[in-house]
Amino acid sequence: MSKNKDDKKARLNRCKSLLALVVMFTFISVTIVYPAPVPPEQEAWSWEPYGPRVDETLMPVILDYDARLMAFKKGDLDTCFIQPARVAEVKDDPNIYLLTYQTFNLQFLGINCQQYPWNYTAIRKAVAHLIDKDWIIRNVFNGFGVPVDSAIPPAFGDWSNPNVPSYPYSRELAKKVLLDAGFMFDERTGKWYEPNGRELGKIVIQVPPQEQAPWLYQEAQRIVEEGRSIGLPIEIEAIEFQALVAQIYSKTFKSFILYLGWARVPTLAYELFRTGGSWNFWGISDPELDKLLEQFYYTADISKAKQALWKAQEKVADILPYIPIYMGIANVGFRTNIAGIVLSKPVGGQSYLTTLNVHHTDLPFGGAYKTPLGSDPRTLNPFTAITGDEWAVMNNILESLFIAHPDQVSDNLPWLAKSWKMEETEINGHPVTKITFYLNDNVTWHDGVKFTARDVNFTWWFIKLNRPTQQYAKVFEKLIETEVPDDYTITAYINGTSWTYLYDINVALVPAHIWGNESLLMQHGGWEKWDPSKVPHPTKSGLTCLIGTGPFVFAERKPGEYILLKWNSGYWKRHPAKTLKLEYTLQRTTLYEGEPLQVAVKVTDYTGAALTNATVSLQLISDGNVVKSISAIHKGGGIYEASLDTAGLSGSFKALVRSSALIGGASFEKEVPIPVTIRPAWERYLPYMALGAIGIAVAVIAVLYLTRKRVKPSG
Amino acid sequence: MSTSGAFHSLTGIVKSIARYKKGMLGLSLLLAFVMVGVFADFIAPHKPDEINLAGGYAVPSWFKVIPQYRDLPENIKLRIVGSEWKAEGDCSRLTVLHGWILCEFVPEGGSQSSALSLVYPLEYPYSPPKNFYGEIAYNVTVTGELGSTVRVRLYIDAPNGKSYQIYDSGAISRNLTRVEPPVRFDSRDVPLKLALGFSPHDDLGEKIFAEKGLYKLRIAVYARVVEGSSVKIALGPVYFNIPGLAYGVLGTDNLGGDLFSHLIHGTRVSLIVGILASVVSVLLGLVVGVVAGYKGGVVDQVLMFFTDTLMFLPLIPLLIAVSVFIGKSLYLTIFLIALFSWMGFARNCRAYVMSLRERPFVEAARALGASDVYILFRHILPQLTPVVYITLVLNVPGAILLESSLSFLNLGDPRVPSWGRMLYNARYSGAFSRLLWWWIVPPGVMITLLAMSFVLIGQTLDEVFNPKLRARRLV
Amino acid sequence: MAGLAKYMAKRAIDRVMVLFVALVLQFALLRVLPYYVLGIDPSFFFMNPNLTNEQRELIKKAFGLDEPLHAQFVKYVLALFTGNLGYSFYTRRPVAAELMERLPNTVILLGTSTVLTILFGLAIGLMLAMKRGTKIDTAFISASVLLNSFPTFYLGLLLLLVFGFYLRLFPLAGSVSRPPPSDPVLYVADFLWHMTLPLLTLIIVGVGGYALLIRSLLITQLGEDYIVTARAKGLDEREIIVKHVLRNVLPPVITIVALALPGIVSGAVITETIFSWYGVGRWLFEASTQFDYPVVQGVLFISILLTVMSLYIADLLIALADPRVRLR
Repeated sequence: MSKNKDDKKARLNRCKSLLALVVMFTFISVTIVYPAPVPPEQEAWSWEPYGPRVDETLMPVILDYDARLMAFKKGDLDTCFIQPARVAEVKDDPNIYLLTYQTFNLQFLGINCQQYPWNYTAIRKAVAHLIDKDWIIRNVFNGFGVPVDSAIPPAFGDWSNPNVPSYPYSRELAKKVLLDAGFMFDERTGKWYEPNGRELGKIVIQVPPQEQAPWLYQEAQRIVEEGRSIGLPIEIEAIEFQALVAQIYSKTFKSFILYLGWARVPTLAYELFRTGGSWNFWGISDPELDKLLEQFYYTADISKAKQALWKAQEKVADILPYIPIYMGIANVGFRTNIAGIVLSKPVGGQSYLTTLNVHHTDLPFGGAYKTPLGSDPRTLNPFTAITGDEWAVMNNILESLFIAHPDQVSDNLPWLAKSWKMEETEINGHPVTKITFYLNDNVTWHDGVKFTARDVNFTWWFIKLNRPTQQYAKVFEKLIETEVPDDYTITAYINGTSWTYLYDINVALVPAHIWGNESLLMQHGGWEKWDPSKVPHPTKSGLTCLIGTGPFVFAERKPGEYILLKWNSGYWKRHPAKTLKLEYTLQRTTLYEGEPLQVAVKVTDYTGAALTNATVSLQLISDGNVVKSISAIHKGGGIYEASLDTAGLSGSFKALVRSSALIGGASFEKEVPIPVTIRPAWERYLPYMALGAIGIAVAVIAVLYLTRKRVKPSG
Repeated sequence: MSTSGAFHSLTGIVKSIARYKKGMLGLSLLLAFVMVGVFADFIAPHKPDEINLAGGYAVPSWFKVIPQYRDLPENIKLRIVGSEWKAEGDCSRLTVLHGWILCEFVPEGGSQSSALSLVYPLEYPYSPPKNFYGEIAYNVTVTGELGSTVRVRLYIDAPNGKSYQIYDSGAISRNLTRVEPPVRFDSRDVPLKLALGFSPHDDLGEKIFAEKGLYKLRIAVYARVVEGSSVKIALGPVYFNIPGLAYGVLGTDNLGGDLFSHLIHGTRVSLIVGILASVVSVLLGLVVGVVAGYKGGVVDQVLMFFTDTLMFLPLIPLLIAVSVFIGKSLYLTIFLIALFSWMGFARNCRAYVMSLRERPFVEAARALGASDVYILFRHILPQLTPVVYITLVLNVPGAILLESSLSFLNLGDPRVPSWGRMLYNARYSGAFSRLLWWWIVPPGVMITLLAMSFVLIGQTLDEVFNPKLRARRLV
Repeated sequence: MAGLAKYMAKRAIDRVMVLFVALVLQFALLRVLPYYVLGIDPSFFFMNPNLTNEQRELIKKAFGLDEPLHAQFVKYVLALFTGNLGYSFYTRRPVAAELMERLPNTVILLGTSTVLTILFGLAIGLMLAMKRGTKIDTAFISASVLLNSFPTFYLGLLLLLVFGFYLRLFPLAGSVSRPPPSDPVLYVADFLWHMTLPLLTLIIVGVGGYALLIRSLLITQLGEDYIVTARAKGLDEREIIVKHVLRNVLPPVITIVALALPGIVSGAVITETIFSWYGVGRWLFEASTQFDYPVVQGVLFISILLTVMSLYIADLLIALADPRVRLR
């Protein structure tokens, strides 16, 4: 424990020097990026692309946050999200450490620019001046948030333009904006009038009611108070989340405060702000902005895309269809015996690699990782699942062609695809992007079927044809054709040129032999209506239809209570060290022909538990040929003994202890070579012979000595 | 039915209720609640939506009589004006005007660095607080040659000699106004915590005000003025707050809102909901019951059929669905509650009217050619008065309980402070795991007492009107 | 017997009509009102902006939302006859299948609590009736005032606070430990341990009302002539109650129990929500906030159906117990 403290201190010192810079930055500019902190046990931890280290991932469903936090504090959970107001309860617990990192969730005030009076740019700007971001972060989130000014939040690194015009909190400036735009304020009545002389109508902010997000309501209340203080007729409308979403989709909303969950590359910007974009709920249409967004989207050159996006952000900040408020900073607690959490650098967030690397400090392999779900996953169908909890389960099971690189989140780490290349060609005179993926050839689905390019091809066309509400992206609309020259190569031809195609086509892959099985799907209501996790696998017992290539297999589920995932022992990136452990004792490594070669082997699994069901054999190998082989007998306690007769053998050999065993249904093998030398049987008598020789020599010398004395008198 | 004339006037009823011990108890309870409801604005020290009155999760201030809570911090709210600062330093001209400190730095030949330090002693007599926050306003005017800079910093000097820099303006080299809005500092800012060498999870208040003693708030102004220029700085009043951790009659909620005020304002809501819903449901029941009972025949059958059907609907699930799908407002809730709670009374009414219809005096009136309306208002409704009174009162508790259940599920009006919502907030702000019984117990007790007062009055009324019942109960 | 059959047939028609009207009402409140009053079109709740217009139309068609409301109603009712409760907007799965996953938990909790409540109510009511006028009786009657004014959810909260958070004797949420013990005996014990608090809440809330009701019914009966006769014959008080009174008290008790069923469903919503019990009540609450109309309608329909069915069974039981009702 004391080591931990020292580590913490060291970490703190390092943070200090780093943060001095950051803090200065804060007072000058408004953007802060927190460096990803390192948990104490992870000081020396560098991620491995192998795993999973744990045997099981248990995901209990605990709706009630209090109950979740209590379970975590008691040790029933290994990790738990800590709400800002609850940090104080866990920060001093010696069994808990906290990781604090920035999320990709942007909270913003979205505005319907078509609706009166929000259609006045001046009104939008005035309200932007009235949003006290600091107050919100301090009072609602206890300081855990980063105020954001740009449409693309600073967590995106150089995608985000730090110099966009900002709207600092100030009632005076808000008034000024309105007055400059021709609005009039009547001191006597305390009312605002439009430039055309009419009284200003109600400005409405819609937020979900308190049970869904009490903090949003508080924020809206604060904005309304500010607005009222300068006489604006501003109001809150509490509206059920789903109803609000419906109004947003149908573009009948007024304005709302919600979150936008960004992916790691801001491709969404194109849809958010383009005229007619599918996420352009605000109804903005600006030719100049459209041009910038086209430049941003339809280019293969990422630096050009960034340049265009920087300009687009300035334009967006001027039109102001949405007012960014803050980015969340999440506190996640872990028990101190948990290690192997991989955070994405530079801003943080847990990388996919965490699922492979996470383990207990006292148990490098094996054991269970217990992470809670805040809501019961209602469906585990990757094409209809919506909530984060549903994806939290499926992310352990399904994989994609490449993942985010944990050392630099904007880079890609090849995964199911070994490599890929993007080319620009032409088909019938139209520019076309050609993407070729080269796949790993050692990947299998959970049921043992080989993963091939046909699965990728199937998933793409499945999405293109069925247009599932999830995973569908523009790239599928533009997909012209695919080619599968061999099992591990796939080429896609996509209309137009855009760097985003690569990201959008990287979807969670599903097995063609399940999802393409028409009769199976029809039997359970079709692709949209079935929950594959609730349908048993057609051929393999013990599996469901929710199979993937991922590190975990969907094992067990008690609806409303928990989901249990077991590790995939046939995982294509299985950790090489996660196997049997053999300890042998050998009396001698050198023996004589005819003497038995006696070996005692202790076989344990990766957690150190003795295995009694193993098959252990001892082989004697010479020049690659098995000369002799015998199987060992279990003597109890996981100790196996073998005795090999060496009659008729001599020379230098390799003794190979081979062991195979079943652990939890999966078969494991391990072998250990032992160099052994067998000498011919007569060599055993060499010492005696030497002794004899010495004896004879001594006798000869003695005789000689004695005879010499006899000679002297004569001489 | 021989109801004495006294029952037709309210005072008469009240008097007869007051004769019973039970009734007296109920009446006085109700009176107390009504007074609280009417004068809520005067009794409650704050409006229900005011927050940040003290620190979050503060304990009730009367807890301070218990030794372990004795030292809990109370609110410290300071507005430090010009004359209260003790100024030291080499300022060329220092004046105090309307609470502002005006200071001018003019070099006396060549460039010159000078410093001004303003100190305010702050006696801190409590155990460590969680947070502190405040505001500082200033105005910088730089005239003449370029190159002069000025820098404003705010420190807290602890009695143990440590000094914490809370704010740093950075070097200012041109005119700058930080008055509207002023600079705000807050111990919850993560960058500030990190700058002072603490972890983002530490509470700065706890770390800085770790011991009792004499602290100092110190403003340090550093100026570097080049020849031929001058720097003027005006420092406004400094606000400095340490939110207390013991506050009010019942402490505070997670946002520092006064729980006692919530409780008091909740009374009004419950009373309004209970009484209005009861009135509406009784009216509905009366109309349906009287029409069905008086008209009889097909009308009766149809009406009773609907009544029965409504009775079979699961009430709360339906209310949940409807209030989610249609919207949340107090009056809608009241209407919905009433809509689903008139059926029992309608059935009673009908049975009663049916028996009255056959009575000789009604028959006689009908024979004399009196219209239905006349008979209803002259002969039948007056006979129903006692039943109406009893039901009016006895329907109230049900409505109150229902409203609190809905608010607890947060299906009530979010703008209205109700007891159910208080419990909802307690449930979802960690009051349970923190064992804050003073947040959880009072709303429930209030709901129970208010409902009980109506039950008591209702039962008494029952006994007043139906003396037989009393006798039967005691068989 | 013919009289009974005729009576039951008449009641059956009555009950089916009630069911139908309840369906109409439910549809009006949940679908027609929101649509016409607030302009909420349910098809927007599960639409993704990435979809094209044809795609939207297809989805609308799949859920039958493209037709006018009255046609939707007819379709809905017709589908109900074939046992089709529709498909959840949210998961797209059949409502019936989703319901079956949650029903066992609710049935176990509510079944146990209802049976125990009635048994306890009967026992306490009997005891009070036999000891009428004593201190215990009057104390209980005074306490009933408190019981009438105590909110159910608050009782659940208090139990949770005291036994869950303060004393830590019972779990805070869920119906089994995660993971549950593999031994079946331990599993049942674990389940019961989790069920204790919600069960206790439901029983405490319900038992007082039953006890008082049974007490007053018994006392009324005890005043009747035949009892006086029985007493005169020198029968033991206990014997009188068991042999004569209970039989006459049975019909009203059956009716009350049957009528209380909708109330039980309501109670389940709150109790299941407080104790995070995975059941139909909590599901209804969640589905409501997610605007999952088919689920809400399905659950409401099932609970109305159950009520109507149990009332019908009650009719039958009463008719069997008391032949006079058939003549009415």
